[in-house]
Amino acid sequence: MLSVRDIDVFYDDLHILHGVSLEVGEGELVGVVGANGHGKSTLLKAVCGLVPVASGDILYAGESIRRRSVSELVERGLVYVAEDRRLFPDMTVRENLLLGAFLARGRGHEQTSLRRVFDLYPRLAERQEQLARTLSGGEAQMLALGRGLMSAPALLAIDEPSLGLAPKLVDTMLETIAELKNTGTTILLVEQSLGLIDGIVDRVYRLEEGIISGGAARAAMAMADHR
Amino acid sequence: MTQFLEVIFGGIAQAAAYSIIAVGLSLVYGTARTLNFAHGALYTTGAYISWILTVGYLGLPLWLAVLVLIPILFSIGVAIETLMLRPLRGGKNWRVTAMMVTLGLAFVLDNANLILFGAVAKPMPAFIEGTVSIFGVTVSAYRVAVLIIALVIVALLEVFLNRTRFGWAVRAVAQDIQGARQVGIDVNRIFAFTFGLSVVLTGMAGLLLSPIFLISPQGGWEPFLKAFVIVVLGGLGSTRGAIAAAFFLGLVEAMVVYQLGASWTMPVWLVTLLLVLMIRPQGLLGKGQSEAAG
Repeated sequence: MLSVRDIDVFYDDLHILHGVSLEVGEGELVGVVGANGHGKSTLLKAVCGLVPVASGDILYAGESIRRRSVSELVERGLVYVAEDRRLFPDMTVRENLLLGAFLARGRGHEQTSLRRVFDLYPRLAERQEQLARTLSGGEAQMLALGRGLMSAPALLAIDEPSLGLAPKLVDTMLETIAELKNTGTTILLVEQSLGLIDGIVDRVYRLEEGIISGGAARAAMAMADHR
Repeated sequence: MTQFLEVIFGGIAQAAAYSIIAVGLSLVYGTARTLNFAHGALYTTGAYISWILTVGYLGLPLWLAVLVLIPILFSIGVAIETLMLRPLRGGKNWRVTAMMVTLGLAFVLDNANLILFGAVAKPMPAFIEGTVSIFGVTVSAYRVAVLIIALVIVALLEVFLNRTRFGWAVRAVAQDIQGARQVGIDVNRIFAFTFGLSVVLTGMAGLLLSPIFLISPQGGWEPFLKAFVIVVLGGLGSTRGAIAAAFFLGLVEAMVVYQLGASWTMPVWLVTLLLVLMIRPQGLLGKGQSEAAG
């Protein structure tokens, strides 16, 4: 479904990603792990069109998307959920969610999508009319993911959802991500440590200093970890 | 006492017009993070274009002049944003560069207006003659009209921002640019649109205020400075704050003019600004600056 081929990405003069390639099959939950500052977020942003790719190519549903705008990609179901949430602080929870359905892809069935998000996170239903800036870290993360779901994603790129969450909330968050996978959403998930997502991913890549390795099934990966 | 009330009412009417200028300035600062120094020159340009359309050359009736004026102003704004500011965005220190570019544009517009229309201020007749009496106070009908029109414009803007899909997108961009991109909003389109809208607002204010102040090539700087004070006082990026600040300063100005004379206006605006910022650095209704440029 998604095929990243040998991409290089720069921030100004900084060479962040070096010839990174990875594959995500339809319905898969693929993880990318690596320490902070090694280019995980940049990889997701490059896939979702939020940062420019200097060389290489990205195929989505068989078509090159390297030069597509973010709007076009969201319209085709490629949706990014940011590690720093990127909510609209002075809008209500409900308004934030409805903005997730801004494009034609999400419009027309907002009520169904809202119900789905509220079923997943009853807490958000309770706080619908509250401003996003008043939410706790856990609730903000729920809202970020919920807003992503409102866009009716085919492939959800989730950037470190555990960031800043208490351990118990991390478990709940990862459970819901596994649940999303079971309902047919393809997921590319970035986290700092393999231990966190080991139980839910199908395959894992490791990103170190902008160079990727791995991609084997998780059992093989775990063995490599223990060597 | 009657004279005092007349002065107060004059202050309110002018404040309403200033609030339109300020809201335009605030809209562009809030979304595109650009402080537009050409806002005052565009106010003057709007006034000159209105003059050409009405008494200057074409002799159009006011309603028709407004209908022609709005698309012209909007196109000017879109052109400035797409041709002059967009290419800078994202570069090193682009905010400062963009500010300098708008400052340069202000000088170009001022001098173009000077060459085209001459240094002598152009008079503009009031579009409505006569006076009306409110609670025994006699005020010019034109000032009442300015107040009503300005309030209607601000109300329409609020409805647009809060009730329409495109208005939501503008607010989303104002609150988090990257978040807006993530949900698929074309932020460049929003920047162009808000810049167009802000030029419409300041140009319309130019039209509304020209019968009161005359039109002169440098005449936009005072409204710009006042709008700037209003925006800072009301909280950067806050529409309602800008309106509240405009009325507050309009009343202060009216009282100062009444007690001390018109030359004290700007010093008093500045002192008021300093005092408010000492007590509330985020402005009257501001929520503090969020560094959300992505």
